[in-house]
Amino acid sequence: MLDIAFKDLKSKKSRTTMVIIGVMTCVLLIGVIGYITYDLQESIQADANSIAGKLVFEKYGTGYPPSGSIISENVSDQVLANSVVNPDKSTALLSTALPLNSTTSVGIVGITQGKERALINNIKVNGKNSLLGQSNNSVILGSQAAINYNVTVGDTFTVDNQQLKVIGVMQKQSIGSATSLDSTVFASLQFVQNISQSPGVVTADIITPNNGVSLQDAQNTMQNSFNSSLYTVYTQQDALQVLNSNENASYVFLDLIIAMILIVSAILIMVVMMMSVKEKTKDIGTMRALGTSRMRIMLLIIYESLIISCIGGIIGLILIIPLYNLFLLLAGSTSFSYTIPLSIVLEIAVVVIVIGTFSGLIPAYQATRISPIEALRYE
Amino acid sequence: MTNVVLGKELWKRYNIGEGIQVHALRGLNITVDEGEFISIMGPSGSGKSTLLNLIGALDNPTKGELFIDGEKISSMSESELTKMRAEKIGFIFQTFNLLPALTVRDNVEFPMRNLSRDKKVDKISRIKRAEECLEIVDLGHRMDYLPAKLSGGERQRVAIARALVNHPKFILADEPTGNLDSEASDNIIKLLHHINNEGTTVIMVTHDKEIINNTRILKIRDGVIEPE
Ligand SMILES: Nc1ncnc2c1ncn2[C@@H]1O[C@H](COP(=O)(O)OP(=O)(O)O)[C@@H](O)[C@H]1O
Ligand SMILES: [Mg+2]
Repeated sequence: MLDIAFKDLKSKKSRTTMVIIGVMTCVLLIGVIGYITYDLQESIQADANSIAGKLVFEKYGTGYPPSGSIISENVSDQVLANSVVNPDKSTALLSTALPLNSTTSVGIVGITQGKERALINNIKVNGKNSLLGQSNNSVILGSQAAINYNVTVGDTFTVDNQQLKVIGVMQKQSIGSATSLDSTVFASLQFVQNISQSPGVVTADIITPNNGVSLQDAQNTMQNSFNSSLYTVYTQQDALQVLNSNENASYVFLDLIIAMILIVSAILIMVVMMMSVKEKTKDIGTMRALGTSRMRIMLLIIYESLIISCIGGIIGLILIIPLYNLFLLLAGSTSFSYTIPLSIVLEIAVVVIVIGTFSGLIPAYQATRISPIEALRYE
Repeated sequence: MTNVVLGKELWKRYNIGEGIQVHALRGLNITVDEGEFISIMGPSGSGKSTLLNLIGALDNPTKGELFIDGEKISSMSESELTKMRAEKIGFIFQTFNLLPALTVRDNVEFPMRNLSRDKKVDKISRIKRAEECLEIVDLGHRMDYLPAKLSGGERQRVAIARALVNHPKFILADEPTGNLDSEASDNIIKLLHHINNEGTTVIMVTHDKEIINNTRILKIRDGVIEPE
């Protein structure tokens, strides 16, 4: 029956093409949404990865990233002095945003000079990778920040009437959208305290446990050493959880759109298949008269809707990469992606097969109800 | 020897709504022996198509017993009737009823796909048999054509090849020449006689007195067959 299904579709070229284009469009939309979700998760993962093997000590209830957290430098000093803390790879940080111009602001993070390794441990940096011994207004930029402010090593740029001197630019961390590290400007803690007029306070401490101390032990020790109703200690896992729950609304929204696209494409195929069954009443009746079983008539119709759906899916899959890159281009991104994540391919494969089968069911059932006697009378 | 068709006291009643019933067949008896060529004639509305539907295992009688090749089909289920049609009956329709998306060859091959698993042969043998039947109707040169490209007479010859392909017990033809000019009609009737001479039973419904020579004529009126 599969070959007959193909020939049937071929004999109705314009209609078949139309439905295939419809399905393809739906698949493209699903694919792009899949990409968006994928990139979001990637960048969340990359954000969380920036504290892999580390702890974040911050004010209770401020979540992650700890942007709303404020702790006094005294507490921060006590934290960093604890015996489970590796002092070389731990730092206080103060994060703030300063206006670049009337419309854009710069996320700037102050860290203790010489403790950059607490954050940019494994990241390659073009130029200098430490603020130690540099002039007060020196900054190291994330890759996306350098692009945003259109600067490179050696340049200066002005933020809120402050001249910033770029001494280093980090290499890109994640694929797709920029993570917070990629878009961050690192300066010295003191400098940031000055320009943000927040002397004596920091946002959080980034802690690397001392050699021989497990992350879990360090987390427990820190949490027990400080009042847990005032301070929280996060691990990478905790951060990931918080970051993902921050995006829950987006995930639900995107899922909703996908559900709607699925319904639209299923209805599209179903309606066209019902029309086509109606049109083929005489042919189906003839087949039944010639001894084709109801089961095989059913199969024929389901095959046809599956074929439409699968061809639409395959063309859609082929077109997703160019379309998504166009989307990135229009969104102002400068980095593109040339492979489809396997998860998206699998998602679309499942969608296409399920939709193809289900939207064929009702028309197929209709087809089995066609009486050969009525159909042969049909002119 | 069993009759190819044996119908005893066949009744067919249609409910046409609001409690009104039409008795299309009223206790009709029919026997068809192997190798016969039957022409069923009668005025419009006399029950010819209804009878053909029953003999063609497309429908069950309201009352009475009907045997095809010795098998009682008057109380068979829908799927048993379907199997019966595939295995024992060849159909020829007034409007040809070829499948428009399939080539002539594929149309003729099609009924062989409907055979149950134990009787089904592989694709190569099916194609070979289809081509053999197309040679019988003299359409060896049209195998790759789509039906839309053929004349009416040619289409009906394809339909005859299709009816033959499963070696049916008999061929049922409802007004096979109804949509054809007289030359094409002659051609079709000659072909049906040829097939009949080779041993296949033919049961034909027709209005056309020109084409009933050398057949056994059954006249049907008001749902019964008139005495010969
Ligand atoms: N499906 C049906 N529903 C109701 N009445 C029918 C149906 N089929 C046939 N009839 C009636 O049965 C009678 C016999 O019809 P039919 O067998 O088609 O006659 P013929 O083929 O000899 O013209 C007619 O009165 C017709 O109106
Ligand atoms: Mg009739």
